[in-house]
Amino acid sequence: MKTDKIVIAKDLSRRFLLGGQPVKAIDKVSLEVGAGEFLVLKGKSGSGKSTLLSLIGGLDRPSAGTLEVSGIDLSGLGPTQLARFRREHMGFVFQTFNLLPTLSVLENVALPALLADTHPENAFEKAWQLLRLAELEERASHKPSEISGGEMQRTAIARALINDPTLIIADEPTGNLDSKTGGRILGFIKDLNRSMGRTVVMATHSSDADAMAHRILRLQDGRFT
Amino acid sequence: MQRIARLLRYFSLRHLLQDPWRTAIVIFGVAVGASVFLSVRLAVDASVDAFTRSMDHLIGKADYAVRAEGTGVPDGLFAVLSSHPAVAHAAPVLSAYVRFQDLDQEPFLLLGIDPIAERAFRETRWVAKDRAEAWETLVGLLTRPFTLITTQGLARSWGLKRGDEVLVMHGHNIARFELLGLLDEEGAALSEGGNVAVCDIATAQEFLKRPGMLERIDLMLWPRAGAADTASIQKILPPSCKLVRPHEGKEASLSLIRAYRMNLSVLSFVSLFVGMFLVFSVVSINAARRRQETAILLSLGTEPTQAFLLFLGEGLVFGLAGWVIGFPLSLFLADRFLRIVCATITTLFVRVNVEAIILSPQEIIASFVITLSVSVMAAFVPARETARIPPQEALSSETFERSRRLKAPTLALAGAALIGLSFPVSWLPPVFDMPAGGYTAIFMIFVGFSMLAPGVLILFGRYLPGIVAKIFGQPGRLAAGYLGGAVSRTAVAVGALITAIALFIGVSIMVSSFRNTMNTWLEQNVVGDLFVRPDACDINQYRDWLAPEVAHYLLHHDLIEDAYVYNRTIMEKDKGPFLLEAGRIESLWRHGRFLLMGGDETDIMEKLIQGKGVGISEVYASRTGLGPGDRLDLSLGGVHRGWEILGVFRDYRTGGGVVFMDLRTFQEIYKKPHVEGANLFVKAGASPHTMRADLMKLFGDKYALSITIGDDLRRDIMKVFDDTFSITYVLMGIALLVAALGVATTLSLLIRERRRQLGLMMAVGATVGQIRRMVVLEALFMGMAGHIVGIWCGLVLSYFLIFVINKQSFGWTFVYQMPPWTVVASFVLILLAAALAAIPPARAAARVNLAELLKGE
Repeated sequence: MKTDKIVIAKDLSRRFLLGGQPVKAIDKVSLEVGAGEFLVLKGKSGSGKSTLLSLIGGLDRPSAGTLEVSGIDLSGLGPTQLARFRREHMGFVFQTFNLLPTLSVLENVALPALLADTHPENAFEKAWQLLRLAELEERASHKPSEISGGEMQRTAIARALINDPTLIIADEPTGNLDSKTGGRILGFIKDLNRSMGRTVVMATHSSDADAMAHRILRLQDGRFT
Repeated sequence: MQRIARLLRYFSLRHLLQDPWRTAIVIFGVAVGASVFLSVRLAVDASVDAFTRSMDHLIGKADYAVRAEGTGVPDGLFAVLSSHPAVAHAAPVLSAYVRFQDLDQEPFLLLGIDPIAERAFRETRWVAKDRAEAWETLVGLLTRPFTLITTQGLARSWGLKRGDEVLVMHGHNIARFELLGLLDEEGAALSEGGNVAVCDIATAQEFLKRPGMLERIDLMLWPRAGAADTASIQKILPPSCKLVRPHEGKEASLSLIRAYRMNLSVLSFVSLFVGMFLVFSVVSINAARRRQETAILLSLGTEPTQAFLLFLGEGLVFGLAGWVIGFPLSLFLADRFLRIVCATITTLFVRVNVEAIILSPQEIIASFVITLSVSVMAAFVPARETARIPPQEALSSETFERSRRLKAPTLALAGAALIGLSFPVSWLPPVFDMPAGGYTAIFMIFVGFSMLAPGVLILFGRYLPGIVAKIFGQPGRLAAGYLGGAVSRTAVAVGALITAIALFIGVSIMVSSFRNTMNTWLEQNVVGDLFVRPDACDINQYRDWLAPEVAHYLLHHDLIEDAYVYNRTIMEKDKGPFLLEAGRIESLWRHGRFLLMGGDETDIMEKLIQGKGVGISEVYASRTGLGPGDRLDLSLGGVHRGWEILGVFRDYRTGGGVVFMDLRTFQEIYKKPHVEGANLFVKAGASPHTMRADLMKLFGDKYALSITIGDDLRRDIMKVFDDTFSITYVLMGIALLVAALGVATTLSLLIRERRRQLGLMMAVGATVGQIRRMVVLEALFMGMAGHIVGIWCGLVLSYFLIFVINKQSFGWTFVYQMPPWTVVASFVLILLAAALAAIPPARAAARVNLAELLKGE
C-alpha cells in the first residue's frame, strides 16, 4: 500500500431538504484514502454510503467542509469542471450496472474514452484490451440486454478503467447479483487493486469484501462509527 | 463538436431508430409544416415575380409617364413633349385587354404603340428572315389599319400564322385584324405570360374608339435633367394630366400582394408551429425516458453543456430530416397552390399570369433556417432540463416525474399575462404596412393559451375521474386520473391541439363572418336583375364605357323598370389608387341599400342623392383616416372640387377603396358623360334571360359586352370568395393533421412508458378491452382539454383576425358572427382525430407480453 493521499476530506457535510425538513446525509465526516488503498464502506441503507461516494466521485457537491481528490479541490469546481474531473480521474461501478442500452458492450466500455476525445481507434483498441481482461471478448458486439448480470457488471468495471482513473468508486457492485457471480466480481475488483494498484472505495453490504479491504469504515446516520 | 456528434450517433440516433415509426411521424409532421410554409411562399412569390417582370417589361426604360385620370392624355401632347429640351425620348401608349373570337377565352393585352418611338423604351422586335422582311412588317404595321403582331405563344395557341385574319373583341368594338408577324421572345413579349399583341397607335385609337387620346406618354429624360426640368414639363401639361413615376402603381399593387403573402405565410407557419409542439413533445418525453441514461452519461464525464447540445441536436435532426423530406413535398404543393394563389391575386389585387414556380434561393434558405430554428427552439426547454439532471441520479434506480405539476400555476399565470398583453400589442400601428402587432399578438395567444394546458390537465385529473367513472367505469377513472398525473408528458400534446383548434375556430369565425357580411353586402348593395358592362372593364381599369346606342336602348326599354347606371374611374390620391363610383344612387336606394357603418341612413342617402357630398368605403376610410364630416378633395379632368364625407359604408371591392357620389352631379362637374355600366331591374313578368338574349342578338356582333344575370353574378362572386379561402381551409386541415400526429406520438410514448403498469393491470384482471378503452379515453380527454382551451383561444384569434389583421392589411372589417357549428364541428373533428390517433397505441397497449414484463428488470 502506498502512502500518497488520493482523497482528503475534512468536516464534510451534505444536507438535503426532505419533505421540507433538513436531513444530514453526511455529517462532518473527515477521511483520507491513500493511493492504492482498498477502502470498504459499510452501513445500513440510508446511512450515507452512496452520498459519500457521490461526493468523493464529484457527482455531488458538499454543503460544508473541504474535499480534495487527486490533489484537486472539488468544492471550488463548477458543473463543467466536475464533469472533466470525473472523466479524467474517476471510474464508477454502480449497483444497477448503468450500461447504455443502445450501445454494444464494446461501445459502452469505449464511451468514456471517446468522451475524453481519445482517437476512436485508440479508444476501441483499449476497450478490447479491457474486455479481454474481463473475459468478455465474445460479448463485445452484444447489447446489454443480451448478456447476464455478471457480464453487465464486468462490462461496467471495464468501462470504469478505460480512462486510467486514479480512483474507482464502486457502489454496491454485487447488490444485484447472485452470491456466486458477486464473488467473481469482488475477485475481479480485488485483482484490479492488488495487481494493477488501483485505489478503490467501495460501498457494500457483502461480508465477502471484508477480507479484501485494507480498511473498513462503518457509517451510521452520516457519521463514521 | 466531435464529441457531440459521437454522442448523437451512439446515444440519440440509435434511440430514434429503435422507434422508426414514431421518429418517422415526427419527421413527417415537421416536413408537412415546412413544406406548407415554403410552398405557399413560393406560389405567392411566383405571382409577385410574374407581376413585377410583366410590369417592368411594359414600363421598359421609361423614367416618367404622363397620365390622366379617367379621361386619357390628348395625343397632341406627344409632339409637344418630344420637343421639350429635357426629354430624350417619348413614346405614346394606348393599351387594352381584348379577346380573340370568343368571349369565353382568356383576354390578352393589345399594346398600341408607335413602333419607331417605341424602340428607345421596350424591346418590341419581330421575327424576320432578313432586313427586307422586317422593314415590310414595320411598314405594314404603320400604314395598314387593323394589323397586329402577336407573340409566338399566342399565335400558336390560336393556330394563327402570318397573313391570317382574326376577330378581335373589345367593349367598344369588334373588328378583324390581320396578323403581320410574330414578336421575338424578349421585352414586352415576355409580359402577361406571353399573352400580348402589338399594333400601331393609330389602329389602337381607331379600334378602341379613342380618337386623339392616349393612355399615357412614356418619357426618358436626358441624364442631366433635374427637378427644374420635371417641373417645367409638368407646367406644359393640361390640368387633367400628371407627370408620374411609372413604378408608383406597381409599388401600390405589390404592397397589397405582400400583405396577402404575409397573411398566408402566418397561416402556413401555424402548421410549422404545431410541428414545433410535436418536436417539443417527443424530445421532452425522450429526455424524461432517458433521464437515467443521461445521468449515466453525466456521471461518466459528459459536460452539462454537451448533454444540452445532445438533446438540442435531436431537435436539429428532426428539423433537418423534416426539411429534407419537406422540400420536394413543397415543390409538389407549390405547383398545386400556384393556380389558387394566382386566381386569388388576380381577383383581389392585380391581374397576374404565372407560368411556373421559381425556386428562389432566398426563400429556400429562409425556409431551411426557419424550420431548423423552430425545431431547435422546440428542443431547447427539454434540452435545458436535461443539462440540469444531477449526475448522482445515476446511482439511483428510481425514475422521476418532473416537477411540472408544481409549475402549473406559475405557467398558467404567465400564460394569462401573455394573453392579456396580446391585446395592447395588437393595437400597435402597422410596421411597413404590415400588421406586425397583430401577428405578434396571435403568437402570444398561441403560446399563452398553450401554457394553460398543464393547469387544465391537473384540474381534469382532480375532478374528472369521479364523473367519468360513472359513465365509462374504471377505465374512464384511470384514464382521467393519468392525465393529471402525467402532465409533463400530456401537456405538450394538448398545447399542440389548442393551437390547431384555435386556428380552426378563429379562421372559421373570420371566414364565416366575412362570408355572411359579404352575402348581405351582395344582396343589398350589388342589386339588379341584369348587369351590363363592357367586356373586361375591370381589368381595363374602367377606361371603357357602354356604346351610346347600347346605353340609350337599355334606358328606354319598355321592360326595364329601373336602372342603376354608373361611371367608374380609377383615381390616384395619397400614393394609392381608389375607385370613384358615380351612380344613380336613387335607383340603388329604391332597390337596395348601402351598409352604413354609422349615422342617420335617410339623411345621408338624401344628401348623397342631392349631390351634397360623397360616401366612402370602410377600406378608403381605413387607408386615409378620413371619416364623416371630413373634406375630400377630388380632382378629375382638371376640375378640382372639395366634398363633404357624409358616411362610411361597407364595401368589399379591392383596389384601395371606393368613393361614391351622385352620377348627375359628377357628370355636371367633371364633364364625363359616359355610362360605363348598368344594373337593370326588369318589370314584373319580364325575363332577364330573354332580355340578355335580345341584347346579345342586337349588339353582340358590334361590341364585346359582359351581360350577366344578377343571381349568376352574385353566385359567381361568392364562388370566387370560397375559392379564395380554399387555401385557408387546406392550411387549417394540415395544422389539425399535424396536431393529431402529436396526440398519436404522445400516446404511443406514454403507452411504451407504462407497459409494465399496463401489464400489471392485466395481470390483476384488466381485460384487453378495458386497456384499449382506457387508452382511447385518454386520447379523448386530451382532445377535450385541448378543445376547451382551444375555443377561447380561437375566439380571441378571430377578434385579432377580423379587427386587427384584416383591418390593417385590407382596410375592412366584418360583422362578427360566431357560427355555433364551428364549435360543434371542431369538437367532433378533434374527438375523431384523437380517437383515430389512439388506435395504434391502444392496439400496442393490448399486445403487452405479461410473462416478460412481470419477470422483472
